[in-house]
Amino acid sequence: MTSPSSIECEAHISSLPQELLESILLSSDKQQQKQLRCVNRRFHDLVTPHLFQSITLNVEANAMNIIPSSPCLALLLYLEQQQKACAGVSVARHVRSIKAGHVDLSLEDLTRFLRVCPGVTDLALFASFLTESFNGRQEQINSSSFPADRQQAVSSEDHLQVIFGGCSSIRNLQLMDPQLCQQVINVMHRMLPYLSHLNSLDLGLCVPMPEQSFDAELCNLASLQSHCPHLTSLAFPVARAEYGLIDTWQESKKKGGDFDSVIRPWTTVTDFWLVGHSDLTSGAKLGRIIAFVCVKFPRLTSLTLDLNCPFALEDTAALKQTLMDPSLGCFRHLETLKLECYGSIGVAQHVLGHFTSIEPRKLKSLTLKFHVDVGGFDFLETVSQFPALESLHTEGIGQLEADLENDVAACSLARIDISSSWPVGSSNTLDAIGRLSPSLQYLKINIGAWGTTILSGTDNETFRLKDFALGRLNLAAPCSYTSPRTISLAHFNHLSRLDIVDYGSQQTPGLLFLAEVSYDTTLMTLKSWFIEKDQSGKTCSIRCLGNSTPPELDAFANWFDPCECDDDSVTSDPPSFDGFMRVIVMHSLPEHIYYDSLKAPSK
Amino acid sequence: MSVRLLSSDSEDFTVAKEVAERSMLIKNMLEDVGDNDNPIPLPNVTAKILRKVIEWCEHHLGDPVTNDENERRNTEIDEWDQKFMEVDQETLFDIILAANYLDIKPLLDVGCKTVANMIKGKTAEEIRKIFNIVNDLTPEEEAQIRKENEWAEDR
Repeated sequence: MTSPSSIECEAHISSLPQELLESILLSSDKQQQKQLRCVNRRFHDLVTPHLFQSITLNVEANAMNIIPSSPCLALLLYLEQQQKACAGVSVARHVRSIKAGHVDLSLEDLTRFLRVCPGVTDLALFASFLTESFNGRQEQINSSSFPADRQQAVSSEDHLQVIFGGCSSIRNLQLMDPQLCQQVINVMHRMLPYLSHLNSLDLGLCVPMPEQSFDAELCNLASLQSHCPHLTSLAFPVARAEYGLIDTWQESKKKGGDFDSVIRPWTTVTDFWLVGHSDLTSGAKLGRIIAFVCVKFPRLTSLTLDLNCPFALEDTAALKQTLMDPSLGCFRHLETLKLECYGSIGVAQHVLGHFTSIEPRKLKSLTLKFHVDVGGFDFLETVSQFPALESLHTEGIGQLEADLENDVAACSLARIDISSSWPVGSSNTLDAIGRLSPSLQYLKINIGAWGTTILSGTDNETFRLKDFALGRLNLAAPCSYTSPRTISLAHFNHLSRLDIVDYGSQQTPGLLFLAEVSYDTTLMTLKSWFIEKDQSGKTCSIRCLGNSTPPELDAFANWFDPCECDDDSVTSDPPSFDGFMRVIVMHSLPEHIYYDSLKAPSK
Repeated sequence: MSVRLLSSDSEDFTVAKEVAERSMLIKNMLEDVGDNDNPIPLPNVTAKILRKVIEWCEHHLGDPVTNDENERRNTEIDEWDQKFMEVDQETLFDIILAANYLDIKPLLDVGCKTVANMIKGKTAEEIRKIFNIVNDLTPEEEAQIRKENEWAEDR
């Protein structure tokens, strides 16, 4: 029986409207959502659509005890039974996305899944799923012997036709593993006539296009465009035979010919991902393929280039000779660019800068992913090539440089995330980035990686500030301590938010200091936090020093105070602090500080 | 410049305009009516809850506004907010309702995350006890739900 007080409490959670309960739900993880689903009928109805929005047909993700050898088939049978009994209450009606990678399933099984889940709009197929389906479950596919069983292959194609042709609700199709065998690629291309209803197609293939195969006529953008004219998002490789058309197009345009018939513009596509290209062995080829992309997709707002073939920086000279006049075509609408490069990222940058240099300059967001530390990425070159850039994100190991020998115009960057970058050399970089980006409001940085680039002997404000802070700490710290990681952000004076990323596996607590120092090296403010880590080294809490923190550490809150260094008692028999220490020193403090994604409280 | 707010139980609060404007509802009302001395009636918020909401707005004055839902949702509750939300359930849900009515998204997020944290690591039975929820599912239905849950993704 329910007591009066409990009725009152129940009324309160029950009084929350549906959208607020959903907000609570979205703040909970899946495990918690599963428990909530069992609480009562209202929570069941609330949680079910969220919990079954997406299903992954994969042994590892769905290990269960009902039929251990084939849990996905058990699910399929269950859904089919539910559909027969009462389709209106089946969880299947909530499924919007299916990812299929389970090797025990056949294409016929997948067809049955799609039949009982009529609302599926997103379908992602792992390559292994298709490979196994086309080659039998026990045999490893071999391109020279495929099809091992032609009859089975034909049958599988029939099922694919049913899947794609029969499920017009599918809008987004993705192949999730780039290691597809050639024959499966051919089959996928033969499916193109059944894909006209798609909005998004991601054939994330990193293998050469089948130019010499019997399917060559199907494996190009022109064919895809005629079959799937409504695509807005596309991930696709471009064959040499196709991007080579740029030469004919260029000639035709100069002569005033019918250049659109050479490369037919595809204006619905706004998001294009040029997937890995084994043919890109030189900067010159890159120039031609980019020229082709910019003519083929004149409405692109987002472009991702996955350039997994190295080419040398020396190719820049040859590249310049092959680049067409940008007035013939350029990325007029491009706002977001992601560039992943195994070789010289400078060459790729040069090409893209060439095609985005015409007004109006719209590129606002740039993501660069390095894979090598040679051939460098020049920050200064980037901001001069993309003057409207507001957001820059870099990842990987790379030589990030910015040498400011001459006066250069300040850029308009408002956000920089270099927390996943591991810079090589160049002690001036951080100093230069700050000076070039006076409008910066958000900075995310790895204190370990970037702190080490501020080297002694460097004559700049960044090093001077770091040197001063460490000197003060050495003089005035109330006890001995382990060597701190320190970063000086001397030129980042208008930040509203600073995110500090600190990779490490320490399990002991530590201290974080944020010091504001005037240009005449007078301390303005010192903020101190106590950080606790869990057993895996992950930061689990951060609170102001003195707020329920070990009292022996309170004196650290004043280490920057000049009075402290005259206090003999401080240095007579100093205790020691074994935890880690992090010091950030700036001329002007940001309003919000985050450490390993946790907000540092201000009070 | 200050603004007057009138709670549902007729208590009059005078707060700085920038504090009151953390509420999108009040901000829009001020833009509509312009400057005047009349109190803004808030018929859905009692004085007790309005006092708490004002306290929160004053503490978070100047916080940057982020429209990124994921960023807002994934940010942990800071220590001050955790203490602020150490209230009885009735007050907690009233704060959430007030934040929703007044359109103060960051406060709403803190409230929802606080409830989510209360649920964290709890079984269905424990959740029922915490919130005094009556289980209206039959044992057969509950067993079926648990069976279906096994198929749902964990992430």
